[in-house]
Order: sequence, then C-alpha cells, then structure tokens
Amino acid sequence: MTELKTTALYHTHENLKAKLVPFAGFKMPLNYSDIKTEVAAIRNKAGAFDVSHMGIVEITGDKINEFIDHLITNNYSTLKNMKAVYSPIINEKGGIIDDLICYKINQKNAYIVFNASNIEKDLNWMNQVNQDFNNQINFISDQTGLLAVQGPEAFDILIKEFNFPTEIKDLPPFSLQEITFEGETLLLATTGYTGEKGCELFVPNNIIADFFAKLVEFGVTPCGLAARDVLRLEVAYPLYGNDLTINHNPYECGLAWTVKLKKENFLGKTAIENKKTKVKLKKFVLDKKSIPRQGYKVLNENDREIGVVSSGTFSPTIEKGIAMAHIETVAISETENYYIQIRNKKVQATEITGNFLD
Amino acid sequence: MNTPSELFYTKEHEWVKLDGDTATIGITDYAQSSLGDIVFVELPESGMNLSQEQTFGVVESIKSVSDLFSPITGEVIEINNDLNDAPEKLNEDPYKNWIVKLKVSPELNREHLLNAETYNDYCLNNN
Repeated sequence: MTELKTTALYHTHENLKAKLVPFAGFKMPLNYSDIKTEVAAIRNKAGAFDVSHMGIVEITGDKINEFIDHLITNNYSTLKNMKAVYSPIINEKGGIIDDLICYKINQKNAYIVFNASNIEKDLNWMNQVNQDFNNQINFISDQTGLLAVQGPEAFDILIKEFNFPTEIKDLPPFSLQEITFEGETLLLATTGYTGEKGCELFVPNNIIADFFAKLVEFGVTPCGLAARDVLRLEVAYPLYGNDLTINHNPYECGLAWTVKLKKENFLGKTAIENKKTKVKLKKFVLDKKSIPRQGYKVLNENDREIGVVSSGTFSPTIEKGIAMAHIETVAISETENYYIQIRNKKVQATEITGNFLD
Repeated sequence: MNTPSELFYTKEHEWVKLDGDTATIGITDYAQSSLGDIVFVELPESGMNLSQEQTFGVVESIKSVSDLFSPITGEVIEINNDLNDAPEKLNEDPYKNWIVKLKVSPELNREHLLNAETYNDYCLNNN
C-alpha cells in the first residue's frame, strides 16, 4: 500500500484530536467532535474545513481562455476577471471525468481546483488538452493550501478577528478578492460546498497552521469530511464518484445548466449533443425512521427497480433521511410514487425540487 | 472506555447480561463511541428465535449502518421500544439502554463470550 499523503494541517488535526481516516490517498479528518455538532456549527454560526487535499493548478499563458473553454462544458472566456465558474469536464463519450472550479485572476492567470480522488487523472487530461494551447500548468498544492470557512457568521469573524476588509460581505457568489494577512497574500473566493455564506481561502502552507488555529480560537468549529458530505447533500450538491461518474453525462446528473452548447467547441460536445439521457438525478426525502444509503434500489409501485441511490444520509438539520438517485428516464413519466428498498422494507420516498433545506 | 466487569462481551461489540434464563443484550460503549450519533435502531419482533451470530437488527448513525449480531441463541421476549423514538439513548448510556432480552437455555454455551478484561484488550488491539 502506498503511504498516505498529509496536508500542511496534519499536526493541527492531530492536536485537535480529529479522527483521521484515509481519503483519496490522504489522511484526513473524518470528524473532530460529532457530526451533528459540526453540521449545526456551519448552519448556525461558522465552521472551517481543511480542503488542502484537493488539487490546485495555477495556469499562466496567453491562451488560457481558449484552453479552459475547450476543457470545460461551462463558459470561461466570457467570465470577468476575479470571478469563478463551476463546471464538469467530460470525455469524448460525454462521461464526466471530474467536476471543478476555475478561478480567473486575469486573462493570463487562472487557478483550477479539482477533486483529490482525481488528481492524477485530471493533471494528465489537462496537460494533454493544453498541448494545443501551450500554457504553463503548475501543480501548486505543495505550496498552497485551501480552507473552507463557512456559515452565517464566517465573514463577521474574518472581518473582526483577521482584519479582512468589510466589503467581503458584499461579494456575490463565485467572486474573488486578494487579501493581505500578516504580510502574505491570500486569495478569497466566495465559493463553498455547504450552501451557507462563506468563502474558500487559498492560503500559503507556511501560515496555514497558524491561520487555522486562530479560526478555532475565535470560535470557528473545525469540521471534517463526514459533516462536509452531509452539508453538501442537504443542499443537493453532487459529489464526484457518487452522483457524478464517468458513466454519466452532465444531463444525467442535474448539470444541464453547466453545459453551454452555444460554445463553438469543447471536449465531448458532439457526444452529448447526440447522446440519450438514460437516467435523471432526482432528490428524495424519507420519513425520520428510514435512512437511504448509496447503492439502495429505487422501486416503482409494481416493485420494478427503476433506479439506484447515488448519495444518501440522515440529515441532522431536517431530521430525515435524504437521498439523490439516478432514475431511468423512461420510467419517470409512468411513475407516480417512488420507493426505496431499505433492507427488507419498501419505504415511500417523496421527490423534492430545490434542496432539502428549502 | 467504560466496560462494566459484570457483563459479557462479543467481538462484534455487544454486551450480554446473564440472569437465570434471561439474557439482556446491548451495544458497548466502544461501539456507540465509534459509531457516533446514533439516529436509527431497527429492532426484531418479539417471539423471534435467534441463533448465535444471527443478525437481529440494525444500528445506524448519520454516516454508517451496522448489523446487530445475537451473541447467543435464544427467543426474543422483550424489545426496548424506547429506542424507536430516542435512538440517541444508546449514545447517552449504552449499558442502561439495552436493546433486546432473550429467553435462553440454562445450559447455554457461553465459552465464546469475552469477559470485560479480554474485551478491553481486544478493543485496544483493534483501535
């Protein structure tokens, strides 16, 4: 077995008595206290995650707009400076390789952040695509860490205790701002994976441990991967490997909004223009007594299997079982009631639109 | 970790209290602590006959699903219905809040059950 990698915050996590588990080749905190407490902290006050395991590349060059617009399904070249965009990247068959966020600093400088589990695959893919564009792609995760500071009081704490400028509160989602902190430059992005207000911070590794310790000191709750997964599912954000996979195209995972077919060309465009949508990602809520889990079958009234749960958990915020599931497109029009098979029970599942907290 | 000395234990992290022909069964402090917030318990039906190691229920935390294995052979005579509405009681006090009671044969084989000391060692070595 290859040795697990660690982030610059490894000793911080140990000192905070985190339960550390293998995740995507890294040893990462699953939880520090209990999941309910961590989820509630993010929903009601503020919490922080170490997300430094995610891959970060810095791109410099003259053809970044062309490169990223070819790489992703969403629009990049039309993006203004200091703005970010979420997008899947897809292969020549339309299958999702990963989902990522592209951050435009200016026309000649960008960052892309992608899933830890796909670092090698994405780097190879980006380097291959970039051959036609000749930009510089530098993997910078060994110098720069990422912190997600999320929750209704996240900005207040950063402003009051870290002297961040007050205007960060007014930044629209998916905006960027450079921040000077103790002589270092941080990049603040109003992005996140919890549905709450807050930001993600690119922090140089030499100050990240102090920064994180200070967050905790000022009442920001350290939160682990378990809470992060619950939080993202409560607001119906998809997860690569569960809801998004190489066997699904973006239309099959609720990501139609990220596909810009009006763009002249991008990788996989021809494939998804012609491809049938075999399944649709749907959201279901169950009553308190039943918890759907990944892999559980979705049935119709006649007990026919029409789908499978891609993500499921108990939501501590609404105190119900919640799930996203891939449902056969052909079954949707003729299905009135959905059921999820939980061990030997068939439990009715209520479809929702929006997210689970609405 | 709390491991009362008067109880017997299994490697599946259940405890058993033997009292005449009644065996009271629950999950250990180690189990509840590893699982974290318990949010659902699936209980067996009264009258069900269980053989040793048979699954008889499920404990779910926010992120995990764990089967319950019967530590011994017997008939379910009582179930702790309080756990339906308050599964978190297993976190609060896993020894006071038992899960099922079985009627067992007096000649019950208990050789496979661990005493508190052996169980403690087992948990420490598997942590």
